[in-house]
Amino acid sequence: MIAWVQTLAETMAVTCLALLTGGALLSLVADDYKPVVILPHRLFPLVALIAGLGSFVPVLRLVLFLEPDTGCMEAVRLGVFLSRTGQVWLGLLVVSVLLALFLQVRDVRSSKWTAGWALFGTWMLILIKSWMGHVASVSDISGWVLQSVHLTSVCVWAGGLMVVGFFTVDTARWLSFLRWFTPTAIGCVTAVILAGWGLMGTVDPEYVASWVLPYGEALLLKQWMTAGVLVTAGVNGGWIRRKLARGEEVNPLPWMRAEAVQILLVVAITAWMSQEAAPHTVAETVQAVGVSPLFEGLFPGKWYPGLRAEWQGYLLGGLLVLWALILLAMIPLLYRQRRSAYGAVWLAGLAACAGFVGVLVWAYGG
Amino acid sequence: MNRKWIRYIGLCLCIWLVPSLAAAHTHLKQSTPSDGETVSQPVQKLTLVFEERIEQGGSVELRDEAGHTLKPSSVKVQGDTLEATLGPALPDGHYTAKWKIIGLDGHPMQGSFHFEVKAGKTSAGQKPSPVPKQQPTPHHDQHAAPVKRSTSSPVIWVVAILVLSTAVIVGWLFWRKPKA
Ligand SMILES: [Cu+2]
Repeated sequence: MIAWVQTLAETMAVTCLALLTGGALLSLVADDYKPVVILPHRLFPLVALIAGLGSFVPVLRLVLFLEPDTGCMEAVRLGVFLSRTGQVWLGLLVVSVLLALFLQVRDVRSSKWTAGWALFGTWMLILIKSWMGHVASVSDISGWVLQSVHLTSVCVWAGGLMVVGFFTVDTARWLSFLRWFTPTAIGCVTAVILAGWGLMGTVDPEYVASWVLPYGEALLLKQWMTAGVLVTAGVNGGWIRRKLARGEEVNPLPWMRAEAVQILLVVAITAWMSQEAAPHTVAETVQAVGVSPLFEGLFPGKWYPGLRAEWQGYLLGGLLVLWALILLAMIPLLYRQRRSAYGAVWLAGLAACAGFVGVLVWAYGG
Repeated sequence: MNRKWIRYIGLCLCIWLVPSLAAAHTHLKQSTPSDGETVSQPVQKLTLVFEERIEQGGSVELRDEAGHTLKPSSVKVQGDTLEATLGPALPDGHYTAKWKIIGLDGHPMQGSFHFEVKAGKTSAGQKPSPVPKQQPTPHHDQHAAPVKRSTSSPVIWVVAILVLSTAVIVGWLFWRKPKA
């Protein structure tokens, strides 16, 4: 139960951080280089507050964990004030409240100074939030730096997409917007990759074996879902852009929204993942938390200590993977035939499910 | 296929191959008495060493064969070590120690280990039992040999549901007339 609450709250917190980043960034950009974006006045203080409050759930989890042994007051003291997670969260809350007050008093769009300060405050939130996370705690400063790069890039990319996708009223200067946004987005994606590579040292080394654990499964699903995002991003940054450059009539907004929604789904999977046991040794982790219910459901009675992927279900598994790829390939088709952009979300989700099951079946037989 | 597209696909493949950020949870590294150990010295203290630093607020409790729980008189957490002082030495018997800690990553963890005390000290009411009822099994060797049960897998049903949803979704998306 609390796992779902945490997933939801965490997804909301990251969404809010992305909205803040996107809003402040767009307000900083000169009018010539962006479409006409109308940002609701009350949105930003609220979003700043949620970004801080939403990160409370991991702390609540600690308090609930300690409570049966220590009693309520002591659990709060240990969990909120003495634990690293609790202390970092308190810092996050202070900054988020200050930022919310600032944005309440001064509108982000009112001046470049305000936007600059808002962006700075948001970045502080991102940095503190990265400190709260798990990599920063187990590795030294480099883990935190990489985590910050990761979160910052996601916020710039998804934030830009969301703010522009959902609050644009006129796409007149779209091309001059894309001229800086597409390279920025590509830079963000690259930074996410590099940060990921940098953290490979602490990442689960038994990648394939970890598919018997919730963590490994979520990772696999996330990778399939990311494939869908990249296909949609390809439509956005490539195809639509070229058509616009040729002067054709296209409405890019629905496709931006579709991409933003897909990124949010990936963020949600990540949020769910971050509370699961990361498997540095799969066998040990299975001893501690057991095989994932999903694995047990798909392959009842299959698991035993020492189970390895056998790569024997290649017929059915391969078919499912092929099917997932076809579904992904249908996303550009959707665009070509001028059909609903939200179809991309459905197709990508379906492709992720099919690909996910396909890879598992491929590895562990039917 | 121009160069731009090849570069784009290369990028996609890279992202695909990179797992996301992760880090290990804080597991129990070693303990005194250790898992499965038979101790012939009196036991008055439990020491648990974890893989990383742990937070204040960790706890450990002992359960004997009869199912009685024993709380340590004091617990001290320092760095990666949790030290529980039991007070009087433990009477002979089998014990399960259940620990609960919070890793520095903020993740609560719990687990247990077993040990046996054979120091010649028995508790007041308990007769010395020379033959242990059951051998303490360290939980790392607890498993039977790999046996494959032939349980029918629901994979085929999952595939059926996927086929059906594909039909519905693709049909719904592509059937209607496109917007002009
Ligand atoms: Cu952890």
